[in-house]
Amino acid sequence: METKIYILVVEDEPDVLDSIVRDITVFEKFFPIEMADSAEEARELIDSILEKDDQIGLILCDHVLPGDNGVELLVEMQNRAETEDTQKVLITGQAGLQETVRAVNEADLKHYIAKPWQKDELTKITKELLTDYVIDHVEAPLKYMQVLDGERIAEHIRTGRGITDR
Amino acid sequence: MKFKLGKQWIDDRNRVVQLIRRLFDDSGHSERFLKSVAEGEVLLKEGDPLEDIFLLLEGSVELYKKKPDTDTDFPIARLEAGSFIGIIAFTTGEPSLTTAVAAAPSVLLKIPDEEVRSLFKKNKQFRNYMDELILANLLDRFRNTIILQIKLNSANNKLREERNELQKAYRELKEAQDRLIYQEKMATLGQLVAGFAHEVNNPTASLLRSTETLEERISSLMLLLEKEPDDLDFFISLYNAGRKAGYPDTATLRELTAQLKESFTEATPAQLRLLAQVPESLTARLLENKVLKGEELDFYLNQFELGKMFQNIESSGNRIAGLVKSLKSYSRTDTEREWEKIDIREGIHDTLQLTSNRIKYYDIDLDLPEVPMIRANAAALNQVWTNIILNAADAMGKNGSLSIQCNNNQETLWVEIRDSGPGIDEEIIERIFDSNFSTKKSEVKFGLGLGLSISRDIIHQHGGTISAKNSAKGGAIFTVTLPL
Amino acid sequence: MSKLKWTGLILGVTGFLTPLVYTFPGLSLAGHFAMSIFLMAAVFWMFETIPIYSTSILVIFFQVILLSAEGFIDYSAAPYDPLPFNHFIATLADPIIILFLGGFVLADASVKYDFDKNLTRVLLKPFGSRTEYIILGLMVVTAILSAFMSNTATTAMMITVILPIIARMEPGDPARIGVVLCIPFAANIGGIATPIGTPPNAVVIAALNQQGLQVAFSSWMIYAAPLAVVMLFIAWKVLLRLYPPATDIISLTLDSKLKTSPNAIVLYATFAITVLLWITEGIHGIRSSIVALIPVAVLTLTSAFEKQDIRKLPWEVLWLIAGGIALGISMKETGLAEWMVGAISWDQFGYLMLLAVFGTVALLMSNFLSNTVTASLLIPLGISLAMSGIMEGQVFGMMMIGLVIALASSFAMVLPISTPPNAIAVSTGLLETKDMITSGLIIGVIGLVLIMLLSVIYWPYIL
Repeated sequence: METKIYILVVEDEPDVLDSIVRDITVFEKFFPIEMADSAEEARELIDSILEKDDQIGLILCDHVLPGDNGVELLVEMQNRAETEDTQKVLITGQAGLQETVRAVNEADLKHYIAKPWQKDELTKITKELLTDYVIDHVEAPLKYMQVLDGERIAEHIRTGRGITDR
Repeated sequence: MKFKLGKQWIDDRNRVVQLIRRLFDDSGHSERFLKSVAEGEVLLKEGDPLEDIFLLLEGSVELYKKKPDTDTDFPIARLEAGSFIGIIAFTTGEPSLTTAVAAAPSVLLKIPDEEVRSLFKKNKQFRNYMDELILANLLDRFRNTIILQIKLNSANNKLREERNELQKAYRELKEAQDRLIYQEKMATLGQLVAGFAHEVNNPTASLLRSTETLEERISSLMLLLEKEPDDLDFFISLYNAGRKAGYPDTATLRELTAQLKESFTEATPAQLRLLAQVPESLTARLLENKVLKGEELDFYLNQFELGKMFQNIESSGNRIAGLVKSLKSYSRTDTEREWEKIDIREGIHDTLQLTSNRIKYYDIDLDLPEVPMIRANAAALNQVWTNIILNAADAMGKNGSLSIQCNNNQETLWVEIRDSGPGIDEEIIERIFDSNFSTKKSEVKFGLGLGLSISRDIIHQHGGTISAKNSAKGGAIFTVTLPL
Repeated sequence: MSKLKWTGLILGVTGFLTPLVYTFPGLSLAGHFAMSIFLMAAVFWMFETIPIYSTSILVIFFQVILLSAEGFIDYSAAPYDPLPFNHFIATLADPIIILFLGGFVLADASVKYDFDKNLTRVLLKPFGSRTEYIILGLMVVTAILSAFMSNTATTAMMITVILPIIARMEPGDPARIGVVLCIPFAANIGGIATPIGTPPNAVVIAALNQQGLQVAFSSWMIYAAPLAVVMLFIAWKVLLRLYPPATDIISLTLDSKLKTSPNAIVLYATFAITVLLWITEGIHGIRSSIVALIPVAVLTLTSAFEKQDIRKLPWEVLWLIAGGIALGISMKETGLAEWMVGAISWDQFGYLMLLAVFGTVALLMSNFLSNTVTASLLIPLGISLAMSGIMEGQVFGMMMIGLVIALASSFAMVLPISTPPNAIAVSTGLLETKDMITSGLIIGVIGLVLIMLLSVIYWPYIL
């Protein structure tokens, strides 16, 4: 089986979760989406995804969650080798400055999306971050090209020699 | 009046005194009029009619004036040799203005009033000397008065300046205090607004996203009108189901999706997620009709989603409306009067609603039976509840429980707010209501650290009390009492 | 492992073992071993049970242990005179491999200094802003670059150029598909123009070299470049017909600024000199493989091309070619190729018919297999056939069949899997496979017809 690259969405409000997922379904053909409504459930999902030797390419995470908050989850992922490279995004209406700084410094936060977001903004960021991930982690990124940033993937093929004449 | 002596003479009163004394000695009147007095001897009293005129020849005399409304005298001038005593009264004929007391053993000429005039007649030279001396004395007095007046003026000015400065300092202090209170209020408000924004943003995001999806789905609805009228009732059931559908939690959703994957093997994950929310009877009908995948399945699911989006919009709208209502009621922007009869429980509910982003995941235990209405400043009291609740949230962190109770007896009403945090350090528990006392140090999350002192002021304004203690079971208990 | 790979593994091992247990009449002992290697390589290459370059190395490995003088088999009693093992290993440094190495270094250095990108923009300018001429311009530039660089790298680079253009076109404009398709097609076609254009050329030229037939860089260009030009023109017309542009004008913003760092200047000079010396080989006679050392030497000694750049070279492509060359050697030396050719009575076919059969088989095979593999499997047979004297004149026959095999395998562009450039184009998501099949089929068939035409009216007169 080929390694699958997952998108993980963590959000406690079901209607908001539904909206996020609806906005990024276009990626689902190549990047299966998993949803969690708490950090606890997200952890279980991460474990089960990694158990299958699959990867998590991107996590979109709310900050205010039951139990541990979003930033804690992201920091935890950053400290775990298998999820260190996962592209981490906070999508939240309110995370304090300190917590956001922590996410940037300790979880290598890639983006902060403020609620309410625009669909174009969300898909653009998802596309860019998944492109980054795929370029860094996938031998043959060709199959993802159509939903990602084709120009950058083509450029990667040009300079990176991932594919050659045969 | 003719002045025989030059100006410099006027200043040399000793010489005049000597001249007068010689005159008296020569005329043999000395025995009659010359008088020696010991120190402390009273020559004349304030208010007495003046019968004699005194000319100080040697020693000195202190003049005293009685302070108005008291019996104490205070010294106003010291007269040296060559001075007349009681010269004002003498010239005007009014009672003595001062009390004269010998400040040292002195020698004076004491001449009865009537004698003076006969002496003047008898002795032209004496009269001349006396004229000169009176003039000199009056000039002296006049000069003193002017100097005094100038001194008084400058003292008055200085006083006025000092008073102005004091007033200014007081005004500034008051302003600073007002400002501090205002800032604290704004800081609290800022917190609340941030929380409010967060709470409003969630439903707003959902609302906006739903409208966008709606736009897309509406076009499919248009298609529906032309296509397959047989299925119309099915479409309507799907729509209605969507209108009422709830959101399963993510674990359930995953489970349902996995189950549905067995029947709808070729459906996309997005389709399966929607199917998981469709009532079983309708899913069964889809299976029956062999609507299993692709655009055809989308077509049916769109109807369901259409209903769902409407439901989303409705509930999000309601949520926003509710929050805005609480904010309005909390800040009392809808009423003009500050003080009115209120049910304090409403304020507590509003506060809980508005701080919900901070206390969202606490176990909240409310025991708020009906209590009498009281006259109070609702917005101010809300600030007290907010301070206490947010302090508790700061103390507890992410998890904890919050219990709020109220009750009353004949005279008072009390509210008790207890948290499950670490409690208050016994060393500082006495001081937590003092201004500028904060346990939060550099990490001020909420307000300026004045929250509790302002709360105390507010409660005092209401004639009530506020106190804090630690519960035996851990956590802090804040008790507010208010008179009925 | 997928089912297909399992099948490949089983078939490959069976293929390898069959000649060891079954004796083919008329085939020598060494021929049996060569056949084992051939069958294994053919199956593994077709099913891609293991990476194709790995199969190549396996070929060389088995040749060394089964067919070399230093191997495990004692041939003292057999008529076969085993070659020293370094003959097989030397395929890894065959002159054509060195030629390719030179080409790779030039191409990779061009990528490093964005020479390819900037050159593209400069070259595109004269084509104006009319949609159809822009498409022609894109094709011409792609073809020129892919004649000297890898078809794949050229395609990837050109995709970065066309994506912004496509984004500016109307969503429903059929020419969007045309623009995407023109790139891989032009890259495939451009590859035939020079010996270093694409690996099948290398395999064929190396096989001809083994027969003592030196093919100069310039000679190859004289044989193949005209075909490339004509095919490019035809492909352009076909795409315009199938996907007529909806808008006449496309506004292009092509900002090109050639880098002017000392290293970049060194590259431009080296590029110019090398290419000049290659295409004038016929005049000065310096072998292209020797010329190929110029870029390798100059660019590395000036540090324009550094250690990490060397590591990034597509070495596996060189291995793949070497395996193809080595397979040819063993098939010829052991008499296997001759034996296989002899199994069919070719006499019944006419000379042109034979070329047509090889061309068609090459076109078909390479649509599904790697072009290099196709050439590697067919060229030993083709050469043996030519040697057997069925064709008029051995040298002429070998050249003809070599050209047909190399060119026909490059014209395979029907499926996404046919060539990496095709795969890249489909991956953009801007076209569907059926678009590629339709136009690829038309161009492939026309290409084959043209090859046959040239076999009659052009090559006989210049060879």
